[in-house]
Amino acid sequence: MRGSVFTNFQEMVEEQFGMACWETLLANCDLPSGGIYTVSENYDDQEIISLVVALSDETNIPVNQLVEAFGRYLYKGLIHSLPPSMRDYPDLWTLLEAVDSVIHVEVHKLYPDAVTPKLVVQEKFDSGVKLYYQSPRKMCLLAIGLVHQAAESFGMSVSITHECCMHEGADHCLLLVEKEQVKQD
Amino acid sequence: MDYEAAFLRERTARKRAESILEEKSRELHLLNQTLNDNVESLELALRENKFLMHIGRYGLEKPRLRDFLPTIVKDMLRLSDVPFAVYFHFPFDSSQADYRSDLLRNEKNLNTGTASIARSDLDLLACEIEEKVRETRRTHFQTVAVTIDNVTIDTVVALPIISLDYLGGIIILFSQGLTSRQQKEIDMFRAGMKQLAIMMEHRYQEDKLLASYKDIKVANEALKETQKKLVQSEKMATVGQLSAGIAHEINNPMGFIKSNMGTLSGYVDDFVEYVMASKSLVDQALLRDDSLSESAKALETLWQNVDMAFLLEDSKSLLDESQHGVKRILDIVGGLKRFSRQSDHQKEQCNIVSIIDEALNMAHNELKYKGKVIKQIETVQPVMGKSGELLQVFLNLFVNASHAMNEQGKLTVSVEDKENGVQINVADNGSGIDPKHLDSIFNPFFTTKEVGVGTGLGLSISYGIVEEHNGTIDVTSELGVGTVFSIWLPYPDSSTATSE
Repeated sequence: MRGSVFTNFQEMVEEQFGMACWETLLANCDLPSGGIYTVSENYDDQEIISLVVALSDETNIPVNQLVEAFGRYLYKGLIHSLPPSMRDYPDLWTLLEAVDSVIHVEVHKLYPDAVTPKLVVQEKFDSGVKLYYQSPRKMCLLAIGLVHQAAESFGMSVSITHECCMHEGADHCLLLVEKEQVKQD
Repeated sequence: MDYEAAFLRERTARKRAESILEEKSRELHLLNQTLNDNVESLELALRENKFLMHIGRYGLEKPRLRDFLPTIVKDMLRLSDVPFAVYFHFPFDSSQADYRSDLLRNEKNLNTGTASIARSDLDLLACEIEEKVRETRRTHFQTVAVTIDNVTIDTVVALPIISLDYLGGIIILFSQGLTSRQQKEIDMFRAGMKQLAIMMEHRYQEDKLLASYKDIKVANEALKETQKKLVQSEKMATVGQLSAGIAHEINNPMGFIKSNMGTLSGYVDDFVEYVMASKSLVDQALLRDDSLSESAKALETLWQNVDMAFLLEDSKSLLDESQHGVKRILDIVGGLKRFSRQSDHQKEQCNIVSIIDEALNMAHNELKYKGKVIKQIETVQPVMGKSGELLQVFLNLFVNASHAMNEQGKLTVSVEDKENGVQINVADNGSGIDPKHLDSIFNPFFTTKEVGVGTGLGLSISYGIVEEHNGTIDVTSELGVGTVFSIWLPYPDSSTATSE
């Protein structure tokens, strides 16, 4: 997995649970990388899982909830790492369509060995879109967190429901993303 | 000491470093991409060069377009990675049938799919595209939906080859979409086809030039041949005049020599009679025993000494031989006169067929031991001529033929209408005439026969006679195969075609 995911995770833990918590996680996990993460390298997928599980143990927050929350946090970091020309989109739907065709293409330019998930807009409705997600990592929850945060950056909120999920035996996830009518701030 | 501030500063510094790194990576990527693009365009240029060079071979090695098209199509398949192709060839020469190739497969992605396209589907598609190209006469792109060998084909590109306004062929490429690289290659193929068309045009012009050169050469040869014949007839005319002069000069002295010889022959007979009478008188005187016997003895000695018996006998044969010689000289001179058109018969209507029959009858004695005579006679109109002279011409040819043939001979005489005249061919299967003699056979005194067998005047006289009749006489011959004499005699101008 890309180093930027790890550095963002580290930052989130440090910000929200303190530096001491991060150190505890590293101490508990015995990671091959020793917790030394840089943006430009790849790390074993297992390390992020170990860290999330350890964080869940440490904080008593369920893993799923943590993953989604991390997705929301990760959004800012990822969008920031894009070249300026790719940061501006008129709305959420355009952004979602650009993920596979533009953003992941850009990632592959810099890191040809990166394994990006397949995230494609399969259908469009007036009220939203149907997203197709497929990745050997099965981290659909991370994707959900990212989409939520992205929606928020456009000043809207969305509801996301799984029509089918890789965690329930399907070979891909289908996520119905709809704009929430009742908007309270 | 505030470690946290120091830590945050370090963290920020690291982030900056990382973002600079990413920026550099991005630049590097762009550079790399430019480099790759350059390499790709260079490769394209290289392929383009190779392709155009291959096309150039059409101009250099001059293969037939039919043999050349498959090579070019295979080149296209290899260069553009297009999976299938078909080509049409419409030969410029309309006597040759149009040709459509089978489906050509790209050797690179040769997957052994079993489900190939139905022949009829391909025919239909090819016909449809051919029609479109004939209509537009330019490169034709079309989207289709067919599956060939389990490969889904959605794009068809048809490249016409148009030379001198004539559609000489179409190359159809079947593709799965078109990448930008393939687009570029197709542009290159279009350029290649244009180049090919220009070369075809050049070759066409070259062939035309060659053909007219050949025509001119043939005409030139005919001209030379005519010139040769002209020189020959000029020579014959000169020889004719010369012969006439010589014949005249010889004829007069020969006239009195002949007459004198006749008279002398009569005298000699009288001399012999007288001598024989004197001899018997001498013989009687020898039996006596007086002075007379002495004189007789002297005469008898003289008789013995001069071998009078032999002189008497030889004188007669000498005179005979001389008279034969004189006759021969007169014959030759007469022949020369005839050759030089010095005869003075009047022309009359002649039936060539009956003249030939008469000549065959006269030559019967010569021909009967030399195989058979075959006649192929058509009804022809009479010609104006001197029948006696024409008879001499044919008799001469038949006798010559009989000399040339052995016992298995076959003399074919044919008569037919030709170019407002009568064509007579006299063909034998005899020994033939040596090519080096062919030019000389009409010359007076030319003969290959033994001395005394022929005068060498026969053919030259025939030549003169035919000339006098405004006709032509030609000969073709092959050693060991036979000889054909062809005589053509014109119909008189006034009597137009009223054949019986």
